[in-house]
Amino acid sequence: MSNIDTQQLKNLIEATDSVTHEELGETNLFDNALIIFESGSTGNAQDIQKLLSDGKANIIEITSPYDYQTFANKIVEVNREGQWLIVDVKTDIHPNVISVLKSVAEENVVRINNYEDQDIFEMKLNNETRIIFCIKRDLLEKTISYPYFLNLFGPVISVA
Amino acid sequence: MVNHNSSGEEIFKTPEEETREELIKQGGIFYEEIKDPETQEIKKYVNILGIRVETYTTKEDIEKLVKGSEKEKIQPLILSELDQQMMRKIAETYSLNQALLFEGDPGLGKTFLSKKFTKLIHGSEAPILLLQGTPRTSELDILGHWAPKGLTEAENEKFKETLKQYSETGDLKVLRADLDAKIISLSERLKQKTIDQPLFQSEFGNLVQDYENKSKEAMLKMAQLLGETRNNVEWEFKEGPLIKMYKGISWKNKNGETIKRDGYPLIVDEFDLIPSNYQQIFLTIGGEKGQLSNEIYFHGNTGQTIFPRGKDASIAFTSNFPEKTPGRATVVGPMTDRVVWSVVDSQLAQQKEEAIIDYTMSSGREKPKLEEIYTTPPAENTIDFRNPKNEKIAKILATVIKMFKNQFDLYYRQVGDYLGEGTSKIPREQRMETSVRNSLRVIDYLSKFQYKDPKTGIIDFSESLKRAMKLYYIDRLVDKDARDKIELVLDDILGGVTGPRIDYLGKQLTIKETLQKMTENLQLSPEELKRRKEETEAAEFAAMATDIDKAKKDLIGKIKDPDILKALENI
Repeated sequence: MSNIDTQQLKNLIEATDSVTHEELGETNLFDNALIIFESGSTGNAQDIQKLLSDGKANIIEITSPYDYQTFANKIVEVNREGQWLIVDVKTDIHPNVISVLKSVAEENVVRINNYEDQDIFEMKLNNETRIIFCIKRDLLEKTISYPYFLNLFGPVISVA
Repeated sequence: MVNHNSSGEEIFKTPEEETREELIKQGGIFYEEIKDPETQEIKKYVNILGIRVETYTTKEDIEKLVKGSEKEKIQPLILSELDQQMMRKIAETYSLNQALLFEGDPGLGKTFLSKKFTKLIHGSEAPILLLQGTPRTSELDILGHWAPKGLTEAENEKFKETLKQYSETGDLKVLRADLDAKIISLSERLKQKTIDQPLFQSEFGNLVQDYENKSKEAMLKMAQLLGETRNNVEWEFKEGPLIKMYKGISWKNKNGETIKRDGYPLIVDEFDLIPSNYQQIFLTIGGEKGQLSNEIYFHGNTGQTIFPRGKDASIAFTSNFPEKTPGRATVVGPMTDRVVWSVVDSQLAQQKEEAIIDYTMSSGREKPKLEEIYTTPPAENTIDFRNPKNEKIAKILATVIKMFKNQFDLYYRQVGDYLGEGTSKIPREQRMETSVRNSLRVIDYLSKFQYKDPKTGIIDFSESLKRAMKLYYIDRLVDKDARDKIELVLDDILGGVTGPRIDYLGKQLTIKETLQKMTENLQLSPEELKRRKEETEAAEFAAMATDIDKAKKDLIGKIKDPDILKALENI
């Protein structure tokens, strides 16, 4: 594992696992988590996966702002299995990914239009499933175009 | 309906009064069934703060959505004054087939209430059709796009394997390698000066042409090969949310039954984030008289497809203040005219925060009060002012609409709108355009929603006009001072000192008074009219007598001559 503060990451994992929030008439909403790697940090998304027990977390990369299918397929898969999803963000994010993060944060629902032959695919978030996004600081500040990106997350930490 | 009080006396309640009582009892929203007088069919409705809207769901489901369910973890719907205002607008504009846009700070419930409304109409299990606005949203996300038809898992793997094999060992790779080798050889000959420049260029061109012809053949061969891998490489059009809104959707309920809808409510969240050129796609929703268009068009590879508007189609947008976030775009001008633009009242927003705190801290005991203005239902029976026999009322209403619109436009052009308070006010970047569409929306509103004077029980067109103007004009403004001034303008037009006067039956009356007299004549029986006239005259006579008496006493107090005094006392 790279030379980063693992305790900080463990705290984030614990917070993501156990803390819920309320939102305008909805309670017990799980949070998405965000890890920001500062420039010069040797940390990466794989470090998070290693901290979780074997088989608990799946990891994907977002490498194209035009692709949401990869994320959609994976979130549905992990949600069915009750696993965590770690998303390593390498570029700007497709609107449909933003939409899923929002529906998870606000309603505990994974909602995707035109998926699995359904006009609107909706799936209640599994009690065991969580999403952690990992992103470099530079990318967050210069490339992510959605201005309320940080509002989509509960626990957010910055890793040096 | 006749009720009895504790003394056994009959109390007559109007349908509107009964509805209001039910609203207060049920927390602002309740289910009702009404028999259609023409078809005798029982229709299901949800009454949302006085506005009756057809629903597909059941009484139990609506109660669950409003009162909550511990078992299903649904929280009760607690409506602050701001929520009441917003929910009422959603119901009103939905009833009138008008597109609505809420503009306000994040976290005020704009999207939440729109989603709740969808559930109240279509059921707690119904899906939400939502388009999330981002700076990357394009026509592909709004209208839809072509995609390969879904392969099974096994087909998908075989497809990918074939592609991989072909790209590694297929003709294209061979052709490319061959071309590269020939170009290297040609370059070497130029370098060795065994050929001159013109010859080099000519031979180079021939090589490229040859490569293009052969690679085209290879591509066709590859397409055939892919076709053999799966019987037909089919493509399907994945309809975007805007088309789904017009066309409708289907889903499976928990019993596995397919539920279909002809049209569906669409929520466009954070519309202002969508790039302006793609915002303009939504101009297509603008129809006649300020309503939604009857169809939308999609221009694709196969030509033009028309999607008629389904009966359940509706659209609600949410937007944040562009001035409050650097680098944010405004909503394009023409779109501001296609929607009923409603700024979320910042004072009420603050009160909502306080109400939420009180409610939470009291574990639900302290609920916000249901405000009279939002629980007064419109009259069950309206006056058809477009009927020629009511021409005079229509003319007066038209006069008010024209006068107010002109005053509003003038104010907006000269003063504009502001964000913030006191010395920190800034001019709005977001501009509004209002065309005749907005005036026609007012007329539609007045046709459907007319409010009774609670004291007299007759239609109060002044009150109805105020509600309409607030919805379609005043609530477009952020600045509270501007809103207050515009409201005063309307009050003045209707009945102020400098407002117009109408010669009605020999008297110079304000617009409000004239409308009141006209509706009395329409709605009251001749006996009741006579009784009210006598009452009014008696009251006027009594008032006059009081004035004379007072004037007499004042005068008596000032005169000292006893003869004059005696004469005065005998008046």
